[in-house]
Amino acid sequence: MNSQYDEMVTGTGTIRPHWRGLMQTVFSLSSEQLAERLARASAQMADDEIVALPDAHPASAPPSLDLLPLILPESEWQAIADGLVQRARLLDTILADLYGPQCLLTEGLLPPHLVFGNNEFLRPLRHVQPPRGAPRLYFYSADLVRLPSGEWRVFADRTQAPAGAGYALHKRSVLARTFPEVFRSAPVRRLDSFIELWRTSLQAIAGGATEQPRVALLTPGPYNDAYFEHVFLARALGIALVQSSDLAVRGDCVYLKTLGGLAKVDVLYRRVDGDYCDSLELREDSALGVAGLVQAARGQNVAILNMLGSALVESPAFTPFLPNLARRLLGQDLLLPAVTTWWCGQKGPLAEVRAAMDQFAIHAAFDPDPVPVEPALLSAAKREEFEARLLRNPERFVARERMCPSLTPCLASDVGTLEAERLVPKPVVLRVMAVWHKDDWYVLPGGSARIVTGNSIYRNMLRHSDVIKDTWVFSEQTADIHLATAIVAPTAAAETARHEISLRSRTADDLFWLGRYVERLDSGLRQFVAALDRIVAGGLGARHQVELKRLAASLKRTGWVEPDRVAAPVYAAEFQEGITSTAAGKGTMRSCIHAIRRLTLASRDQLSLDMWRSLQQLTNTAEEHVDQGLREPDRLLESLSVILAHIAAFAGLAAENMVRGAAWRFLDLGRRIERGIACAQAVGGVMIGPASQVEAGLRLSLELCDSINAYVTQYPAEIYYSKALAFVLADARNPRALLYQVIQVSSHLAEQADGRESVDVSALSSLIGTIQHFPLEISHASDMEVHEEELFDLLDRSIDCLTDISNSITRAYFSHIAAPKFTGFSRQRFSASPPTPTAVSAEAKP
Amino acid sequence: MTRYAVRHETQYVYQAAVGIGMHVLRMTPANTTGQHSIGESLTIAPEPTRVEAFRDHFGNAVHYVCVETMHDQFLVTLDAQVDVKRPSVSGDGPAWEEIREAMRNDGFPVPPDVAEFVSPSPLAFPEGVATAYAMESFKSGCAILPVLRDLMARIHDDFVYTPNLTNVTTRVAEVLTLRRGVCQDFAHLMIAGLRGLGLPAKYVSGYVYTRSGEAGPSRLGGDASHAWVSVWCGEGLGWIEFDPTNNVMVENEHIVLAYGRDFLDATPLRGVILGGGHHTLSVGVVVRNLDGAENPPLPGCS
Repeated sequence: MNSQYDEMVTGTGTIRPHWRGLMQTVFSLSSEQLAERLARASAQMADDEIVALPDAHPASAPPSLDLLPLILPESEWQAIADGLVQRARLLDTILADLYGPQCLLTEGLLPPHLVFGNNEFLRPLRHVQPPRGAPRLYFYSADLVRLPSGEWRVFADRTQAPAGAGYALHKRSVLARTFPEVFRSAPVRRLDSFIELWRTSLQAIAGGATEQPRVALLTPGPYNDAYFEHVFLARALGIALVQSSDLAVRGDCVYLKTLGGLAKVDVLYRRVDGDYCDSLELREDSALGVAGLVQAARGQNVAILNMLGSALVESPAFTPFLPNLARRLLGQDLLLPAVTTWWCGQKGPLAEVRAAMDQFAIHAAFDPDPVPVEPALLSAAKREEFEARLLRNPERFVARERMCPSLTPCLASDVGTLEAERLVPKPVVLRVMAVWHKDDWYVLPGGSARIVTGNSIYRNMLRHSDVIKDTWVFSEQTADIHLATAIVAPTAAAETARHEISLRSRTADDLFWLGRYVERLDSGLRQFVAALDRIVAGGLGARHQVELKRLAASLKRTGWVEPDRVAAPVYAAEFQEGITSTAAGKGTMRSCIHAIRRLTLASRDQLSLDMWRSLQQLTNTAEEHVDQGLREPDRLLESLSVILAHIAAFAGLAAENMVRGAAWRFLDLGRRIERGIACAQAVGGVMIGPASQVEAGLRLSLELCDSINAYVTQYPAEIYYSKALAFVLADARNPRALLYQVIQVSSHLAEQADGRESVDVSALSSLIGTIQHFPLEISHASDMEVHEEELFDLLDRSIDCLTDISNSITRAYFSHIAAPKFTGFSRQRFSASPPTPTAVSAEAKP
Repeated sequence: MTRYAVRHETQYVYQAAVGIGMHVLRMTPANTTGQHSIGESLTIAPEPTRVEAFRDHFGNAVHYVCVETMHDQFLVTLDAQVDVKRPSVSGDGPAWEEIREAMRNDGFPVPPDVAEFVSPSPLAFPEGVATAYAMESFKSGCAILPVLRDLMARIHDDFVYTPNLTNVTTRVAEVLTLRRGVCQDFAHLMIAGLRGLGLPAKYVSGYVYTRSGEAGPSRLGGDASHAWVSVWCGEGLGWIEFDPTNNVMVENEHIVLAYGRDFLDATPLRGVILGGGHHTLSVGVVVRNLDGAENPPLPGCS
C-alpha cells in the first residue's frame, strides 16, 4: 500500500502547484489562529446542524468536516466531468431500454439475471414513461478513487437517490467563511451556479404542467441518515420538504395536503428508495411512500426524479458490460472507466476471480449498501467456506478489485505547535454528481470527498461517523470563481416560493399540538413551583398548609400528580415526597417533554432559527431536569424555574418573530386552548375548600395564572373575592385570564375560516357572553357556597367547550391526514353470500 | 372446446366507513394459447371514481380502481365467458438438464425472457429444502415432462390440502415442515424447487372447474381463485402447466387470470384504504360448464 498516489506532494517531494496557496495560508497561521479557525468552523457546523436536526438523534447528524479540501486542477477535473456526463447518459439510456422494450436482453448485450435477479427492477414501472420528456435518471452520482498511477476510476454508480450534493454545498459555505483569504486569492470554482441550474431544471420539468408548478422533496423524515441534507437542499432549491403523510394520491395525481385543501404536485424529487414509494403496488409494508404513486406515474401526472426503479443500474454487476454498451448505444468509448469489476455469473470472470481471489473484494451483486468479503483477509478455512458459497450461486456475487485510494492531507485533530504535525495524510475517495437539464447534463464543479477507514470504501450511505471534505476545482476562467461570501443562502426568490406553498395540514396539526404541550408544561410547572415554594419556605405555618392542600387538589385535577401520592396530610414527609418526586419529572412531565421534542422536530421548517434554538434549549433543559431526578426541594425549584424561563423565551419569540400567518395561528390556537383549560382547571382545583379559607384559593388562583403582581399593582391592600376572580377569569385585558383565551381562540378561528364554513364557534361566543356577565359580587358571606357552585359550573363548561373546539379543529383541518393502510390480498374462503351490487359495471378492456 | 361461465365475487366489509379506497385488480381472463375470452364484465360497487386499465410487465390485464366516496363495503364481481381448448402435449420433451443448460449458457440464457422465472422471487425463493425435495424426482438424463409429472404427483401425495392454516406470506420451508397447505403453497413449493434446480417456473392464478355434483373425481380449489404452475419445457414444448393441488396437467378445465413469478405478481386484488377500522373479506367463485351440463355444478367443495 506504499504506492498510493499523493494528492498534494509529488514523488520528488514538492508540493503540487494547485495546493500551494492553501498550504501557504495554513502555515502562515499561528497555531492559535488555526485553532480559532477550527473552532469557528465547528461552531458554524453545530449551528447549522441544530437548524435541521435534534441533537437527540446523533445518527442523523451530517458527517463531520475536515477543513482541508481536496483540490483538483481544472484540466484533471474536466476529464472527470466529461466522463461523468457520458456515464449518466449511458445509464439513462439503459434504464429506458430495460423499463421499455428490453432490447439489451433480447440482443444478448446484458445478462438477463442483472435485471430479473435484481430487487431494484421494479416491475410495476415497466412500460411507464416519465412525463414531459423527463429522464428516468435525473440526478446521478459516481464514487471515484484515484489509482496509484494517478488516474481516476469509478468504483460505484449511484442512481437511486444519491446523497452528497447538500453536504458539498454546506461544507463549502463553512469553508468560505473559515478561509476567506484563500477564496480571495485562489480560483476556486463556485457551486452556486449549479444550485441555480438545478432549481431551474426542476421548475422547467414542472413548467409544462401548470402555471404555478409545485415541486416537492420527498424525505423519509427526521430519523433518516440524510435528513440534514434534505432540509438543506429543500431550502437551497426553494421547494417544499414533504414526508409521506403530507402527500396523497387522488385519481391519478399526487397532492400536497394543505390547510386550504389538496394542492397538486407536479414534480417529486424523491429521497426515498424506489421500492418504498408506494404501498399499493410496491412494498406493501412501507410507510414512507404515497399509496398510488405508481399509478400517478403511469398517468404521467407527476415527474418523479429519479424515476422509480432507477436504482436498477447501480448494481456493480452492470459495470463490466458498460464499455461495450457505451459503444453500442452511444457509439463512444467509455471516457471514465471503472475499477476492475466482475459479475461472477459467467465462467470466464468467475475463473479470473478465483485465480486471484486475494486481489478482490467480493459482495452481493444486488445489495445497495454491501458488506464485502475480502478473501485475502480470511483464514484458510473461512476462505474455503466462502468460496463454496460463491460457487453455489455465483450469479449473486460481484468482485471488485481491492482499491488503494490516494492520500490527501487532513488537519490533525490536535493542532500541534510544530507545523509538520498539522497535517496527516489519509486515504480519500470522491463523490461527484450531475443533474439533468433539457437533455444536457451539468456537473457540480466540486464534490464530497470522503476519508476512508477500513472497508467503509464500499459503503453507499454517508454516516455521522464519516469525515468528509470539500472539493475545490481550480478554474482557469476567472468569471466563475468565488467571492468569499455565503454562497448557498436561499435567494429571495426561493424564500418566496417556500411561503407561497400553503401550510401543510400535518404541520398545522403539529404546531397546534406543540402549542398545547408547551402550555401544558408551563401550567404544570407553575403548580409545582407554587407548591415547592411553600415547602422550601419551611416551618409550614397554617396558611402554607391550607395553600399546599389546595395546590395538591389542583395538581390532582390537572393530572400532574396521582391522587395517592398526595393523600397524606400536608405536614407529613410522604406528602412532600409525593410532590418532590413528581416535580422531579416522573410520568406526565416526561411524556409532555417527549411530545414537545417530537413536535418541534416535525414542525422544524415552520420555526425560525431562534425559535428552534429556544425550543431545543427548553427540551434539553427539561430532559436534563428529568434525568437528574433531583430530590431537594430548593434545587428542584431552581431547576423548574429555569425551564419556565425557557418557555417564556419561546413564547416571546413566537409573539415577536412569527409572521401572523396560518403557522402562527395554529401554534397560538393550541396555546390558547390549553391555557384556557389549564386556567379553569387550576382555579377549579384551588377554589375547593371551606369558605373561611377562600383567600388562600384566591391567592393561588392569581399565582397560578401568573397574575399576582399585576393584581397587587392595582389592588395593593388586599385580595378581594370578586376582584381576584374577575382578574383571572373575566378580564379581557389580562393575557392570562380565561376570557382572554376564549376570545383569542374565537378570533383565530374566524380569521382562519376567512368567511368559509369551518369550525362552529357559536359555543365560544356564548361562553364569552357567560363569562363576561358572570356575577362575581356577593353581598353576604352565606351566599358564598351557592356562588361557588355556579363558579365550578362555569369552569367545567369552559373546559368542555374548549375541548370540543379542539376536536372540531382536528376534524375541520387535520382529518384528511390519516394514514392509509394496506388491506392485504383477497384470498380467503367464501364466508357469506355477498349482496347484489348497485353500481354500474365498469367494462374496461385493456 | 369447452365454454365456461365464471362468476367471481369479492367483498370487503369495513367496520368503519372508508373515504378512499385504491385497488389493483388482476381479474380479467387472459387471452392466451388455448384460452379465449368471449366477454367479461367487472362490476364494482360503489361506483369507482376512476378505473384505469393497463397491461403489466407480465402481459396481464390490470385494472386500477379508485373509490373516493364514503363507503362501508367494497364489492367486485367478475362475470366472464371463456372458451378453453388447449393443444394436447405430445412427447416427453428434452432431458431436463438440457433446459437447465440453456438457462445457464454462461450468463446469456436462451430465450432470455424465460430466464426471469429462474431468478428468485419473494415468495418462491429457491431454498435448499425445496430444491432437495424436488431433486428426488430429477434423475439424471430423464426427459422433462415425466419428471415434472412425478414431482407434481409427489406434492399431491405428500401434502394435505388444508384451508385456513397457511396464509399468503407462508414460506415454502414452512409448508415443507407442515406438509399441509392450499393450492398457492403447493404452487410456490413446486416453483421454488424447480428454480433451485435451475429450471424456469411461473405462478398461475385463475380458476378450476370443480365438477362438483358430477360423476367422477371433483377438483380442489374451486371455492376461491385457484393457483398452479407453468414450467418452461424447452423451445419445442414451450410453457406447460401443472396443477399440483389436483395432480393434473392443465388441459381444458383451468381458466387463467394472470401469470407472475409468485402470488405477489398475480394477486387478483390488492388495495389500500383510508379509514375502515377492521375489515372482513369474503370471496366466492362459481365456474359453470356451459357446454353440456343442464344443472350447473355447485360452487365450492369441502
